[in-house]
Amino acid sequence: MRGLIMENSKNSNPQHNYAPVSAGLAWFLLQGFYILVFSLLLIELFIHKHGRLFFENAYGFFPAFGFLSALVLIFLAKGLSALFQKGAEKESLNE
Amino acid sequence: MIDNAFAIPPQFIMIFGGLMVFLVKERLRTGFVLLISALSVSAVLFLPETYGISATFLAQDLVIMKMDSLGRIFSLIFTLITFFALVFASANPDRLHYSAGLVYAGAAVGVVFSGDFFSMYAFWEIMAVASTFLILAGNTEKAYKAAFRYILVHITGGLILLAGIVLYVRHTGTPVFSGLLSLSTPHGILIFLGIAVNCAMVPMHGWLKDAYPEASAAGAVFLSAFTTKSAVCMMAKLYAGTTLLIWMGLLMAVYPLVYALIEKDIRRILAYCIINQVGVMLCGVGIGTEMAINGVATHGFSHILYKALLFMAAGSVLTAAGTVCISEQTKSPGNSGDDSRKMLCRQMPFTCAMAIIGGASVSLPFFCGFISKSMIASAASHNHMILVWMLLEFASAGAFLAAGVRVVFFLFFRENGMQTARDLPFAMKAAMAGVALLCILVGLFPKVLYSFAPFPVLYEPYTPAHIVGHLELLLFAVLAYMFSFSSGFHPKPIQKPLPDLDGVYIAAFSYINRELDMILNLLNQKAESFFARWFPKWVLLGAKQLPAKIGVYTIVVNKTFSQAKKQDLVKEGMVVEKIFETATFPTGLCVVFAAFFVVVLFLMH
Repeated sequence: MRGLIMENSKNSNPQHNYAPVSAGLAWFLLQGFYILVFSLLLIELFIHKHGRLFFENAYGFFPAFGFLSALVLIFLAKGLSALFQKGAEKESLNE
Repeated sequence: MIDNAFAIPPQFIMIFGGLMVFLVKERLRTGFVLLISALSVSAVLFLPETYGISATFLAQDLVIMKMDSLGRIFSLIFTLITFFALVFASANPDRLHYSAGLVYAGAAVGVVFSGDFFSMYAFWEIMAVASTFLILAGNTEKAYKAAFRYILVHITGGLILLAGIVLYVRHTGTPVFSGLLSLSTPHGILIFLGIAVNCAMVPMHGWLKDAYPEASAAGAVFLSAFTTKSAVCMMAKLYAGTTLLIWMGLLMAVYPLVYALIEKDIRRILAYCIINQVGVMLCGVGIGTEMAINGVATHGFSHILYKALLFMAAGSVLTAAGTVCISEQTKSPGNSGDDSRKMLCRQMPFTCAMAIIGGASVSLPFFCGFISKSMIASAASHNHMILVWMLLEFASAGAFLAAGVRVVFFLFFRENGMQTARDLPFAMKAAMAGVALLCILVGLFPKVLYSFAPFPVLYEPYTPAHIVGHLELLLFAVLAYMFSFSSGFHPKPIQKPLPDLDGVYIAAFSYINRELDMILNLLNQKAESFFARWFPKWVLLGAKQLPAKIGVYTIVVNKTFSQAKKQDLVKEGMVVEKIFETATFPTGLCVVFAAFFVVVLFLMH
């Protein structure tokens, strides 16, 4: 695999290959994300909705649905993960 | 009969081009395959709407190619992605990727353009064989085993399809497609099952998450595009409006997401996400309205683009770091000092940017996934299918979490202990940049893609309500995931291979194999002891040992000319004798014998 990589690259020194991702930038991006999320809730107040299903037009439906969807998935994944780990522990005990 | 003698069908350009690769000089090879794929793109774009090829074979009318709008949009993306996948593969220019990739893509184009079941079946099987080579190109023990399971599943699926085709021909008197099929007839059910195997329909999905992550970096890009999407196209041509497809599609859309959240191998997460998105498309086929079929066709296009980009990014990491498995001991972003340099986003910023575009293209507005996937959900809401619509939105949020957030975040913004010392080849970067550009352009100018849709598109994706609603859905799902992460409740990647439904049938087949082995060997022994009384000993011995001896001497003669070592000859001789003694011939040899007998039967006929 490593043979595929260009040997004569200008950036062959790993020290020169790093992009400027710092803790400060990560914090800044996180705050930006929170601001975007909550500004969407504000914008929703001012837009005209035209959903075909009655609940599509209810305020806050999509945020609540997205949040709950993720929670359901996380719970299911946790449950499945616990089930597999239990099975793996049983297997290793049997061995 | 060919409608236009000057037009060359794209599938034949690609298949013959792929076979010619072995005859082209090494320094010209990359240029040759890129020229072939560029020619096939132009053939798809410029062939007339009425173009077709028909022939008569064994007293049956065949429509080898029939241009239609559904086939055109699928073949357009097949040929386009072949071009970029070949550019990506040119970083490691070997004949296997070029040849197998072109033949595989050509066969997929052949399937979506076929106008009869025999032609479809022939291209279907070529596709299965060519794609197996791309898994073998992974060149690991795991890849060999996965390729074996892959071809077994596809041969089984192909046989079910063939059985359905035979019944169809018996029923209708012709192999030519004649409208939609129903699940109330035996041929309808068998053909459905045969296509369902290639769609990776749950519970027959095991082959996809098993084989794709084991393929080579470039092989996985080819694999992500053709098999499932050509099957979706055939489902849309033959089973549009079948209610069962809605529920099977929804099961496929939801079930793999749970696995995708605890899987550690990034390429396997992407494979689960392929099953999820194919499920969304099949649900659209099941809804069957013009809007839904437009959604299926356009989403097939978008999905191939962004999934290829994500597989390219994962393949680049695999090439540079040697692994794409995320570890449980990952550290959070924002670490200062030397530790944060171990994050891949700092070591591979370009690949990281491409992966972010691929992740955003899954669902975010102004990227390709947004303008197509939402059309299928809108078709459900137009038909007042409330539960279907809700599950599609649920799947949309889940797919964004798995492919858009988890893949990008865990791979690039967590310290995985992955180290890349050097930059990637230019070809890999160029391929990723080209596909990323297409992801953005399709998202920004959806009307261009809509002009290739099978029916006139009356759908407008960019309304304020849709953009805001969809962004809220996705970003609040991410918010929930972030909360689970900061509280330590998030599902952690499991380091062992995850058991799935395929484990059930692998265990069942192993059991059947063991039992049959015992029963048939017992029968064999009894029959031998019963019939042996009637024959002289030398005849029995000859019948048992002669084929083995002939096999051994053939190898000896062959190896003597190639100046093999004596120990190797003895070893191979013992292997051959064992094969004849236990009658356990390798599958490849059996296939060669079967093909030989089919040819003999055909000639005698």
